[in-house]
Amino acid sequence: MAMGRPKKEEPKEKGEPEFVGPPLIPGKPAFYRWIGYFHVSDERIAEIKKSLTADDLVRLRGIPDFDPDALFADGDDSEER
Amino acid sequence: MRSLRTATIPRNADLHQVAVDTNVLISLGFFRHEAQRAKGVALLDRAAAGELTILIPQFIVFEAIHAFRSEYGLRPIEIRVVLREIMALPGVTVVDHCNWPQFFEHWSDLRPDVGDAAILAVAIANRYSLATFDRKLANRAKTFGVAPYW
Repeated sequence: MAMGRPKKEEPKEKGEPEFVGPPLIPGKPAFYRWIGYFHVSDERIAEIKKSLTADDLVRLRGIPDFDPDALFADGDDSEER
Repeated sequence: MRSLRTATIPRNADLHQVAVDTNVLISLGFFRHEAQRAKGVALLDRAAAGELTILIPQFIVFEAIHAFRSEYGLRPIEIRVVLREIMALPGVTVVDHCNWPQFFEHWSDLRPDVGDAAILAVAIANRYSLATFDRKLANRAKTFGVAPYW
């Protein structure tokens, strides 16, 4: 077997943080480890709601009767769609 | 331009094809709404079992990145891994096309949501079903012959 020069490790970009993430779930595709992984605090939800005014909602979504409190209600729309 | 997955994996035209919106992607990752997450997981399971194909339009990927960053404060390195792994799931394909004439038909002062117009355009043009938790969008899609997945 030919012996080449040892491969140089690719230098890491400066400031690139390490990221490992949750462990893989045996027998499941990799993405399944992310299901429900991130947590949104009630405070953050309140912030998101607060940041949207009724005018914003009318302008952005064209739904005149849109209720900001319904953003996170069961089965209703959220801020992304 | 066709995506790598679209170009290399022939799509079975007989398989039920379901386009997903941004909220479905986001609901999978977050402890936010148990019922929505369960529905999303069931959809993934069916795709993994070969019962249907999940289609993620390119603009949905960008919309999800925007929401992950601006609304939930995730770092690019986290988003990168999550999105790579969802794109690698069996039965999931990213599609890059957008039917622009349809898009302009559905985007107006009355309906100014760009994402809604774009996913409607893609679903109508390609006869995809639409997986969305937004009842208003699902009802609107239905009037144009697009079957809501849920």
